[in-house]
Amino acid sequence: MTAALTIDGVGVDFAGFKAVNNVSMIIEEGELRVLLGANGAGKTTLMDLISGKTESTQGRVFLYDTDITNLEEHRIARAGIGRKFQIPSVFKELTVRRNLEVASCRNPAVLANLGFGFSRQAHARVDEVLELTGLSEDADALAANLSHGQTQWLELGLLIVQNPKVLLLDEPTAGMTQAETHRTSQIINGLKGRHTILVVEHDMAFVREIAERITVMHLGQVLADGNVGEIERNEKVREAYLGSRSIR
Amino acid sequence: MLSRRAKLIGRAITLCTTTALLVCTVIAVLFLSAFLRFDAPIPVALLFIAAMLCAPLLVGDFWLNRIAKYLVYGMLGIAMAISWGYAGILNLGQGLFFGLGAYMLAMSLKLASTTSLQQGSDKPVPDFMLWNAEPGAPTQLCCITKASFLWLPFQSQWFGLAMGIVLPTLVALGLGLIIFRKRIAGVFVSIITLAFVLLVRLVMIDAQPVTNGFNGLTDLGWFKLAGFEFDPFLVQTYYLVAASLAVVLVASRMLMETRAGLVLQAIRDDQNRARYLGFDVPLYQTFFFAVSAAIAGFAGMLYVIVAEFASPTFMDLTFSISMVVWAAVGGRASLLGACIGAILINTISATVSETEGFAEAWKAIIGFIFVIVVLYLPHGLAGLGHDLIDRLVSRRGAAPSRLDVASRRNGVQPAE
Repeated sequence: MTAALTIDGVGVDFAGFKAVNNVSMIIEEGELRVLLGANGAGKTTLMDLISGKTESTQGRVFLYDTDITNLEEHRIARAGIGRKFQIPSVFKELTVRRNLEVASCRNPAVLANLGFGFSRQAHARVDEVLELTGLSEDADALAANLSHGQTQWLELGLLIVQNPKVLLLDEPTAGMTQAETHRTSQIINGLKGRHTILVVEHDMAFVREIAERITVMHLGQVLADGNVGEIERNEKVREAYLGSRSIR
Repeated sequence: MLSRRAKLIGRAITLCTTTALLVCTVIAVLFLSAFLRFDAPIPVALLFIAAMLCAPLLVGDFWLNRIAKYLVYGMLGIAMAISWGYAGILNLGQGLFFGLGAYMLAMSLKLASTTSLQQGSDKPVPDFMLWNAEPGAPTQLCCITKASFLWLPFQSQWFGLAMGIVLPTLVALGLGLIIFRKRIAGVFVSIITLAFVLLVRLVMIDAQPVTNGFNGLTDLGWFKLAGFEFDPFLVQTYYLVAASLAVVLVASRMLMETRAGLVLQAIRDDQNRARYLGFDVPLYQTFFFAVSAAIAGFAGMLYVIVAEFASPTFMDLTFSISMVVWAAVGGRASLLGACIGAILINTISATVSETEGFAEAWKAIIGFIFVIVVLYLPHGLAGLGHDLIDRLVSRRGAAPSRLDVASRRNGVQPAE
C-alpha cells in the first residue's frame, strides 16, 4: 500500500496556545479514515493545516510524494486535495449544473478559461456526479433554493467532479435528518476505494455506517487509533469523554 | 425665432414620447419573458441597439450630441455592472478610470487644436503652458514647464488613443493585485477605491502646469480617423459612439458567457469555495477589475470626442457615486439593465432639470428612487418583471421565492 496523505509532526501555535500539537498520521491510498474528538480537540484545525487555511508552525504534510506544507490554498486544491466545509458553501446564485461546471474547469488560469462551453468529458462527468448525489432533477434550480441536505450534497459533488486524490470532509452530516444522513453515508460509501477520504464526524451512528479506521484526537494530540470496536473499548478514549461510559 | 422654438419643443415632445414608448416596450417584454420563461435579454438587447441606431431619424443635432453623451454613460453602466454585479466589487472610484481615459485622448486632441498650433512655435504647445511658463523659457513642448515633456508622445493621436485604454488597465491591474492579494473585500474595497480616486483628482488639480489643474483641458481639436474629422455634432460621431456601445455591450456579454465569466460569478457568490476548488481568486478579480477599468477608459475617450473637454470633475466623488446609482436602478446584475439605467436616468434628468424649480428637487427624487430600488427591487429595472411576479406569488403563500433569498443577500449588503 502507498501512503496517500502523510502528516508528519504537524502543529500550530496560536500565540502560545497549541491547537494542534505534533500530530502524525499516515492515510493509505483508498482508505476512509474518521477523525473523532470532543469540541476543541483540534480536528477542524488539523484540516485547516492540511488544506492551507492555517499556516502550520511545525511539521510537514505530504500528498503522495509531494510536499504541500503551507502552500497557497488553491495550489493545495489543485495538487489534489478537496475540502468540504462544516457550513455548506456553494455558489448560491448559480444553478446546480453551473456550480458543478465551475468545479469541472480543468485549467484554473483566467486566460485559459476565456473560451466558451465545456468538453464532452466535463459534461459527462457533471451528469455522472448529478446522478451520484441525487441532484439530477434539480440540475436547473438555483443553488440558493436547495434544502440544507441537498446543499451539502452539492458541495460534496463540487469536490467529486474534480476527482481529487484526497477528500477532507468536515462534518458532512451536520444538521441533516436521519434519512439525509443515511443517503450521505451511501454517497460516501460509494466513494470508498476510489478516493482517499478523511472525515470529521460526531454522529456515531453515521460513523459506524462508514468507518473502517478511526483516529481519536484530544487536546490537539492523537489519543488513539483503531477500528470501531477497539476505539469503543479503549480506556483512554472513555476517560477523555469524561463521565460517558462509552462514546455514543 | 418663435417657429424655431416651436420646432424645438415639438422635437422634445417627440423624444419624450419615444423614450416613454421604448421604456414601456422594454418593461412589457420583461414581463412577458418572466411569464413565459423565455430568455428576454437577447430580444431586449436587439430592440435597444435598433432604437439606438434609429435615434438620428427622430432628433436634431443638438439632442443627438446629448444622447451620445448618455450612451457614453451607458457604457459606464456596463463597466459598473461587470465589477459590481458580476465580480461583486463595489468600485466607488470608477471615475478614476473614466478620467484617465478622457485625459489621455484629450491631451492628444489638445495638441491637435488650432490654438496650440499658434503659440509662436512650429510644434504645437498647449496655450495654458505658455501662461504657466517661467519668463524666458523656450516655447517648446520639451521644456516649457518642468514636466511638459510628458506631453511629447501625445503629438500622435494614436498614442493618446492607446494610452486611454492602456493606462486605466495598468492602474487597475496594479491596484487590483494589491487589494485582492491582500484579500481585502466588500466595503473596504469601496473605501480604498474611493480614497484613491480623490487622491488622483487632487494630484491632477495640483499639477496645474501639466494638466491645467481645475480648468481641465478645453478647446480641443476634433478626433480624426482616416482623414475624417469627428465634429461632435455630426451624425457620424453619434454613430461612432452608438456602434462602440453596441460592440462593448455584446463583447462584455460574451465575456460573461465564457468559463472565466462563470468562475467570476462563482467567486462573487463564495470566494472561499472557489479558492478551495483550486482557483486563484485574486487573479480573476484583478482581471475583471481591469476589464471594467478598460471599458471605463474607453468611455472616457468617447466622452472627450463628444463633449470636447476633459476635467477633474470626472474624478469627483459625485460622478462615481452616480454610476453606482445608474447601475443599481437599471439592475447591476444585468449588463444591459445597467446600461439602460444610465441612459434613462440621464435623459430624464436632462429633460426634468431644465424645468424651473425641478433642478434641485431632481437630485432628491433620484436619491429617493435609489433607496426604493435598493430596498424593494434588488435586480433593478432589469429584474422588475421577475421580482414583481415573485412577490405576487409569494404573497399568495407559495414557497420562499428566489427574490427572498436574493434580496436578503443583496439588499442588506450591497457591497457583497
